[in-house]
Amino acid sequence: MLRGFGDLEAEIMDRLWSWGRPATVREVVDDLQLQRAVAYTTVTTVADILHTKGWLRRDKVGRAWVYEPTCTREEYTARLMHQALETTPDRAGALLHFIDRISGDEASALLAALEQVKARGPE
Amino acid sequence: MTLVLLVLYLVAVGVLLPRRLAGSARLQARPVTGAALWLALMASFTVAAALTAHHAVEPLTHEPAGLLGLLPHAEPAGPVLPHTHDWWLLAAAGAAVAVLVAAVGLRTGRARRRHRALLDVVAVRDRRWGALVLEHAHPTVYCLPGRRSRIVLSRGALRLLDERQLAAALAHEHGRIRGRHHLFRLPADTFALLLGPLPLARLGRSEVALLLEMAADDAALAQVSRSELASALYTLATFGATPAPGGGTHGGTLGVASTGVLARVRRLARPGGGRRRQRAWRLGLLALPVLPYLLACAPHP
Repeated sequence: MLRGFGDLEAEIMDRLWSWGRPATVREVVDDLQLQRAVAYTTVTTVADILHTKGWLRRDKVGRAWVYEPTCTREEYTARLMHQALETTPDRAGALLHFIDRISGDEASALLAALEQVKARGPE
Repeated sequence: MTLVLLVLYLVAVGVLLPRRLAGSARLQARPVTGAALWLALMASFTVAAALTAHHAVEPLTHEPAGLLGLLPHAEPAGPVLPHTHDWWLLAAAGAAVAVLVAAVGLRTGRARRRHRALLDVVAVRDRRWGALVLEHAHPTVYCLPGRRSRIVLSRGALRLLDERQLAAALAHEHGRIRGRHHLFRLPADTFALLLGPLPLARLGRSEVALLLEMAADDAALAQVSRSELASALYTLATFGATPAPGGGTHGGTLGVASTGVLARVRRLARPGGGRRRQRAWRLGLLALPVLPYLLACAPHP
């Protein structure tokens, strides 16, 4: 595993998000094992890491911990997109964009430039 | 006299030259060399500033040296020391600069790592494009540079762009990662954080960023055509923007204030833009940071 527990973290979060309900480590392990062999203790460890990182909250139900994501996938996605789209010079260089947005005024100048490129013909 | 010369040099490199160089088509024809030139100017400015401080503190204890010493000059009155520098002054100045750049680099690296940790859990791997996909309607394509780089597409970008346009955007990002463009931006960003309003800092930072975009555009052209790349740029940039009625009338002013994307598409329309290597250019770049020293301090025969 190249990224350490990274892949397993993603797989665990993925399941909990798609189920949309709290689940035990046992349930997650059973589901993971439909695809590949994975040790119960490994999943317990990674779930514990995710809890420490603040990704999961847990409650004790009977003898087992029941885990649940603290935020929805959409909330995290929105946070990432916010970081990706904010253009404070302070953060320059952390993320590099293919392109920044332009104003409506510039759109027509841009269209003219695009026509010029196309007029050059294929190379 | 040495002091006056150094101050003139600071004004020329810090204020006058940047205004002339910004937006230069000649630099844009060789974008990586162009970016390197801006960084060399920043380094040169830093050296000249350090020497200015040095000469301001000890104005008359030096015998005139450097190229200036070759000119006819009045013999200084009073006791004069040979023009030497303590090695630790040089080491201290170098270390201070290194610490500043490292501090900015660490902070950027931390922001990048935090973003990546979240990304790896939230985004979905798209094997076909070799990128991570964020389920978000806003179209965007970006990359996290560095050793464990990631290229990210939003669902909106996947929907908006056609095959060739996506290939162009991804080739651009790959070019950026392979060219290690974030390492060029780091010193420019540091310089701009310290000397904000100075034209060399303000223009330098945005010009370095723009020239690197152009270098990544060139890298993308190995895989896609100019019009494919230009249309990808156009489609993403104008998403949600409506062309102003009767637009294009102020094309003259736009040339100066053009945002990155307009300059990039216009450049794609220009002939040439092939890769040319010019060794003389590179040597000149290396000489720039040393120039103030030669001017003011180097011992002369």
